[in-house]
Amino acid sequence: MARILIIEDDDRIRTALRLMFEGESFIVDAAASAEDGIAMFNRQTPAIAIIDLMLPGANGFEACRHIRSTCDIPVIIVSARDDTADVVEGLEAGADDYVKKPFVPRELLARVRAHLRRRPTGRAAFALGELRVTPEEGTVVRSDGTEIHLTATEFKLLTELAGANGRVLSREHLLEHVWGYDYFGDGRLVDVHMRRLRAKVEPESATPTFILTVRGQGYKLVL
Amino acid sequence: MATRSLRGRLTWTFAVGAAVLSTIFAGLTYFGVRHIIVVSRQASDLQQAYVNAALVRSAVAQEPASLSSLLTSLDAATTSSSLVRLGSTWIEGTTVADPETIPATFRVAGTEVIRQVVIENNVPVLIIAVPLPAVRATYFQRRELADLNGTLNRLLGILVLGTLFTSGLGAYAGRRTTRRALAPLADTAHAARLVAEGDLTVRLASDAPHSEVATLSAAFNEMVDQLVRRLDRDARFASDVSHELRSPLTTLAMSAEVLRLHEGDLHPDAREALALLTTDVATFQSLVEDLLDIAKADAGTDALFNEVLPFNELVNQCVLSATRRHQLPTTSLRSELPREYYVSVDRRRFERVITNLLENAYRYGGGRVTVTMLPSNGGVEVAVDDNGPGIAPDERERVFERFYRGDLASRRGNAHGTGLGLALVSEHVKRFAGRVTITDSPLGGCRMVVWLPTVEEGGE
Amino acid sequence: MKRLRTPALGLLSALLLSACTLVPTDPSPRVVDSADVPSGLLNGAESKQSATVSLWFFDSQGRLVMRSARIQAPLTISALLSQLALRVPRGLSTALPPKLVMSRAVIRGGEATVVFTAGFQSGDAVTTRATMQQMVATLRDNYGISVLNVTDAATDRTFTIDAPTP
Repeated sequence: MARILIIEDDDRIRTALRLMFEGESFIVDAAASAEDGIAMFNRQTPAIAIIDLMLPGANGFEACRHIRSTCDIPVIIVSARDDTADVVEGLEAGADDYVKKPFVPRELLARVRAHLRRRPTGRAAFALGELRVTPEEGTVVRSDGTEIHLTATEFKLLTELAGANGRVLSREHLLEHVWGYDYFGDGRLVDVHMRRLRAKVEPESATPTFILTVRGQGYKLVL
Repeated sequence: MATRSLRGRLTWTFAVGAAVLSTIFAGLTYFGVRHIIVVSRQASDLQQAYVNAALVRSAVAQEPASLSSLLTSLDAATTSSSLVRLGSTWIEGTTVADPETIPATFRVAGTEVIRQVVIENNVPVLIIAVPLPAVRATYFQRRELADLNGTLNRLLGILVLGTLFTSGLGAYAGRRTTRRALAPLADTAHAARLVAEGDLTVRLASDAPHSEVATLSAAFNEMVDQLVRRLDRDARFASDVSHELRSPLTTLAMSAEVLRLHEGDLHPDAREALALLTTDVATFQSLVEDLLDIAKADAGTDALFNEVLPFNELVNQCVLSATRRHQLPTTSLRSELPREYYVSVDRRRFERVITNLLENAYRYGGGRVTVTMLPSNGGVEVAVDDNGPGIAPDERERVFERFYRGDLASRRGNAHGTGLGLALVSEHVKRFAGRVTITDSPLGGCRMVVWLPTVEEGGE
Repeated sequence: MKRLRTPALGLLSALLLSACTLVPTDPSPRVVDSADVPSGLLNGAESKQSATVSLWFFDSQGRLVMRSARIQAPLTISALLSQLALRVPRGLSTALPPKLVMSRAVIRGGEATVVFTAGFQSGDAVTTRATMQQMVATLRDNYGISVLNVTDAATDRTFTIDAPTP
């Protein structure tokens, strides 16, 4: 039974969410404010978190950053606005996905399940410059032994690119295989995550050497 | 008169004004000049007559035999004809003249100098009679004024030409100034037309301050500003309402979902009620989303993320997604495209278009729906056919209106549609620079065709 | 306002056209103020001048002979003719009838035309010719004419004679 943290200030939506997830055999920690949410998070680490960006005082971003700085669990941000600025800021703050309000409850459920799926196994470990990537364990280790923390989504993205053996993968393909979105997923998710990934694994993120953008087509990984 | 344009009337007024003024001026000039030259001619002729009369008097007194030749020489010198009457004797020079030409009124001997201008053979003639009581004779002088006639003729001709020319100039000046003066009217009319067609950025440039043109421009600009403000307000209202509705709607949807999860625990009647509730909540949510979309389109605040996509794959994906998301029956999809084409669209909005068209086809059709892709003039088409009753020709424009429910919809009492489906299709297609039309379907019902312009691969 | 334009234009053009003859005519003779006439011209002072004239008569042989006479101005043709008819010097004769009534005489250039309304007997050709000779000679000397036309209004006959060279 997975634990889910929900930070949502609207009472009714929060209640409805709690009811729904409890009905689907989740353990629900529901908070009405960022402070309560962070407190709950500190007390017990959930498997996944859902945060409403539009908490009073722009604290949604704060909560997201706090969670991300502590662990790699998937974070889904929810917002009534899909302004590019908000979404990108949320994704940059560490969220793995965003869902627009009003959401179809079934779809939110499906999202959550998708993000909780086990990491893909069966892929051989490979080297990325001076980094060693081990999909079985889900780790990225530097030559000096220090670990680089990737979120589940970032890791999936990296292994997906590696599995293509240098072929170009389109945004659609990545959306479908990493997030489970169909043809109509949002390309911004891919772009922001690519930026985050590069910042973590590239020696010089401004001039990427491993993860390359192919204009008009997508991305590819060069080992 | 009333139908003649303002510009025409003003030009006419200019021309007539110029004509009248120049005619008056010409008239004054003409009569003035005529008076002057006639008077001066008469004065000089009189002087001449006095001189001649004095000569005649002394000739009559001293040397009558020389009278005739005197008169002849006088006539030659002055281009006139002279006569002297002594009693009943008339003495003349050699110029052809006849005592008969002296009017009867002159022939009566008088004691004063008299003169008269008469017309003889269409020529004006000045006749002067100088009585010479000292020798009991009268001296007559006839002078033709044909040269005066000629001068006045020429003067008149010039003045008439001048008047005509001035009138023409007046008309021309009228046209030019009215065009400049009325240009603001034409500008305003043009600007108003642009605004009516939807361009709300149009404003009139202001002229010199405090002029009538400036007043007009300011009033027009103010009007358009107010219009923009009102439209903004309306758009924002629609948008605000939709936003406000979203939260309670989400809660509704989620609660319905929760109930559904536990529907096994419900009484059959409750289960039925729940089914109705779920459906209507779904419709309600669609309506709010549609309203929001339309409000954004109206206010122009919807940002499009256009991408160049392969048409075939795009349509395929849209039909798949629509079928899955809205639980539609499987639709047969066919392509008659000879090769790959590319279009530039926002993929999510295009998906809405396909979804709405399919939903419409299933809702009002006979159950069978096909989707066909066709090449077309400068673009590509996707045709959605159904085997329903079709749409009457006089309704084919109106179905795209918001909340339009044709006969069909009202009759079937089918309230599942939001009423905005086709309106959104129309708005989105317009934004893609495309067209949507309705024709008859080979399946027997209605065929809705969306035409999109094609672009080159890799272009933006 | 527009309605008035056409008739106004018509009036103006009518005015202009009425000046067709251009130079204005007078319906009746206009008197010139005496003050504007050079003094002396109209002086009524009739000169009591008498002039010397040449008169021609026939002598006993029927030749024309000239005699001078003094008559009072004005020297009109009728005055001359009456002299010829009535004041015949002794020893000479005249061919002019005594009761000549002249209505008009016109001297134009060197040609005189005289119209008699009564008293000009033109029955006898010889007498007529003599009369004409006498008249033309006299008129030639006094008026410088070279041709004389006589029209007898009573019989409506016209006679012409050239003046003899002096």
